[in-house]
Amino acid sequence: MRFRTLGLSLLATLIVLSGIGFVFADGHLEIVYAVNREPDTLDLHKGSSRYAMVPGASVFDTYLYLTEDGEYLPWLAEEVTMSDDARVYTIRLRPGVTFHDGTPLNAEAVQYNFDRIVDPATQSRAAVGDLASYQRTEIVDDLTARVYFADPHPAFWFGLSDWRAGGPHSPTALEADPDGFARAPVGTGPFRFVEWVERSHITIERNPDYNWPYPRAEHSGPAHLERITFRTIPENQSRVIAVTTGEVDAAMSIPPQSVIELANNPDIRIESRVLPGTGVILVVNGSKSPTDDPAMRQALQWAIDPTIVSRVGYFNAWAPHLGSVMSAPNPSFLDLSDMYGFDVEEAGRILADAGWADSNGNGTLDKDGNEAVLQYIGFPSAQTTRVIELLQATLRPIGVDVNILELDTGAIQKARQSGDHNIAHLTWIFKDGGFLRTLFHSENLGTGWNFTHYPMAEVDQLLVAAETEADLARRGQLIEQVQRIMLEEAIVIPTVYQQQINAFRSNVQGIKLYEVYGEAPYFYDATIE
Amino acid sequence: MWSYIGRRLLILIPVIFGVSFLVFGALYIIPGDAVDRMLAESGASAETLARLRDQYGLDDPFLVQYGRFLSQMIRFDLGRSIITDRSVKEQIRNQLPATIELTLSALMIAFLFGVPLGVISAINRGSWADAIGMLIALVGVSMPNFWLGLLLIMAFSLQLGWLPTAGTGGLDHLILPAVTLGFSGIAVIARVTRSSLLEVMSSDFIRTARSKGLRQVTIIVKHGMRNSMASVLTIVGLQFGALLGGSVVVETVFSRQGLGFMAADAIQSLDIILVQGTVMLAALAFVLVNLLVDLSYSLLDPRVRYT
Repeated sequence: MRFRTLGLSLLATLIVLSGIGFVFADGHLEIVYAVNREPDTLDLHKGSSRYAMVPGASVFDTYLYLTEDGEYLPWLAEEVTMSDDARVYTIRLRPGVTFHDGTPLNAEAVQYNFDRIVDPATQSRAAVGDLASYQRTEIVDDLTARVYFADPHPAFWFGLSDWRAGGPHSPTALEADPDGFARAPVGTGPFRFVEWVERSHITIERNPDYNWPYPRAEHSGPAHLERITFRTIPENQSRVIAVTTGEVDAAMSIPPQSVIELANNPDIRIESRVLPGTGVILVVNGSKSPTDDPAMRQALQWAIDPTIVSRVGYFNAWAPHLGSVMSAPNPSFLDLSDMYGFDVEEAGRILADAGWADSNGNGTLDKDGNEAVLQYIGFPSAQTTRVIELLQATLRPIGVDVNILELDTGAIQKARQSGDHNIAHLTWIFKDGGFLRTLFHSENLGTGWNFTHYPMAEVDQLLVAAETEADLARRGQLIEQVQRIMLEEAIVIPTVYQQQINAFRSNVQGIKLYEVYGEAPYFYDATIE
Repeated sequence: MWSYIGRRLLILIPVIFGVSFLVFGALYIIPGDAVDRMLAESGASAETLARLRDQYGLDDPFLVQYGRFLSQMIRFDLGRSIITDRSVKEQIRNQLPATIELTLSALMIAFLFGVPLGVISAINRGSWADAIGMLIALVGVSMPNFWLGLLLIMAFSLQLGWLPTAGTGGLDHLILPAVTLGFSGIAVIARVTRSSLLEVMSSDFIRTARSKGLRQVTIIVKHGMRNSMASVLTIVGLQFGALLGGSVVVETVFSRQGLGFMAADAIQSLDIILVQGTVMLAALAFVLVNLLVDLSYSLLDPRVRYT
């Protein structure tokens, strides 16, 4: 009896305590946002994780704001001009901007930031890529800086809109504690860093002095919310339950299979954004039989329908891919959905015309002694497995077999680099089209990320030209050509776009998923009722 | 006694050496590395990757890397994480208290529920109470803890709303993870207690005790349980290792701070240096706990002497 009383008292205390927690959260305009991974560091000059942008987008601002349409709008920089040869950029800063520690954002701070990123001692992993061939920054006057590059560098526009190179860090804080900055960042953003309890949460609070919101903001002055806590919940189902019970106010990266369930909940609102990059694509090996035969590659294009993939594999939560190697939010995206249709009989005809036939009567096509057996290599995930099983079932009636091999991160990389596959799964998230060089230039065959095993001289030339083309419109055309060739050669099979799906409690309004990194939420206009 | 402890501690040296070889070797042969993973997330350039591989010596031959690992270990330096560039020792220090809290709570639950369950089954051998007890034990051994964790979350967080889904905090955040982790321990301890007690209860000295007219409770508690505890303690020691391993899954399912959550994250990121440090620490803790268990035998059984 005594134990029962003790148990009930304990339970009552817990319920009361958790109730107090919610009152505190609401009373102080605080929201709890569930994230699936922790950042590696919040020193964005050094780090490489996209998850750093989730709190980072509120702690740091950027010089330019890149819209969904690919337009660069002024933000911390009132104006940016580029020389005709794309080697010199002049940045005129907005006056009156200060870091959270009171340090003014001036040309000296710009110079300090860029110099630090390229300094080998910083050991920058990603930001340094935005500053390729950087030479120096000249201080023209207090609010004007001129940045010099050795080679034409049109991608610097993107760099100025990317928090890693384009989000100024406080020089004062960096000088005071260069290593400690990673876990106590100081930027110019609408929220100030408060604490990071490892593998638990990161907390930020409103910056009361803030008055330089991003160009698409709906109000001016400080943000509405007082406090935001980013709680790490890696397990998908736990994150879904946490937002369902109201334990958190919002959750990111909702798995496709949970979207319908949450969308039917009147207390939850689902918002989704297509991520830039490749989307989910299947890379075809152009040097291994049977996909070294262009007819086999063409047949595969006719045998897969992104709309059915979206329905079967992703419960319609991730939209069908309409391009080739680039997703819709990327500037210069090309809609190529009319190049091939979905017609399995047409696929069979293409193979028959190219000489594929079941000569030995085993039910599988063959040609010149090679059997029509495709080796698929991908990650063990429910979605991709369903997709490849769909392809397997579609191809079987026309005499093409698919062997499925699913490997973990490390093993899959070596297998794809060695060319063990005919079809390999690939996703890549990046906004600027420059990423295509990493994935499809022949310099990255064998040891890099080009898994086509199929050198294409024209694509190589276009990718190199795009990297140094100063005329942004012309650069876009070059990237469009690459997309078209990749699909004409049938060396990739687009399936669905990769989507960031977030769930919000209905009393939370105004959180926007930023257009460059779909994962990065913008809390500036957010409110909680 | 002290010379025994000294010898056991000396034996630790080759044990740790062997564990270090297995840990390092297993991680070495995994294809790919953290640098590949970083590139996938950030689009870093080939030069950056080459610099990082050079910095962490990832392209060095096996023996060179292993030698470096050993020399660091001898100096109690576990290196720096490839992903976060933070000291592994510091990260372990931050996460260790939460894992100790969880593991000890789970062990306590396993012991407090497992032993009575085993005793009830043993003294009611063949009855419905025995059948129910062993059914619970069978379910406990068979059910994966990630599945049990999710079921408990659905019941106590989603449906009843009594306890939080995830996170680290007070007692309310500890209950579900500790029960999840301790459940399989309840099962194992109950089964061992039952079989061990049954064996002891059929011994001659128990028959003698009965013939002397001692009460059944005295016979079970004073004579039966004390003599069967050595096997139970052995299994408790082994359970500690199982619980440390289980914490990887449980801490991840409940998004709870701790070495397990950290290790799972490090494995996903192929952060080999962090994984090495964590596994070495877990191995050391396991060996030391088993030494303590061995030493405790003499307390339970005066016949056991260490020379």
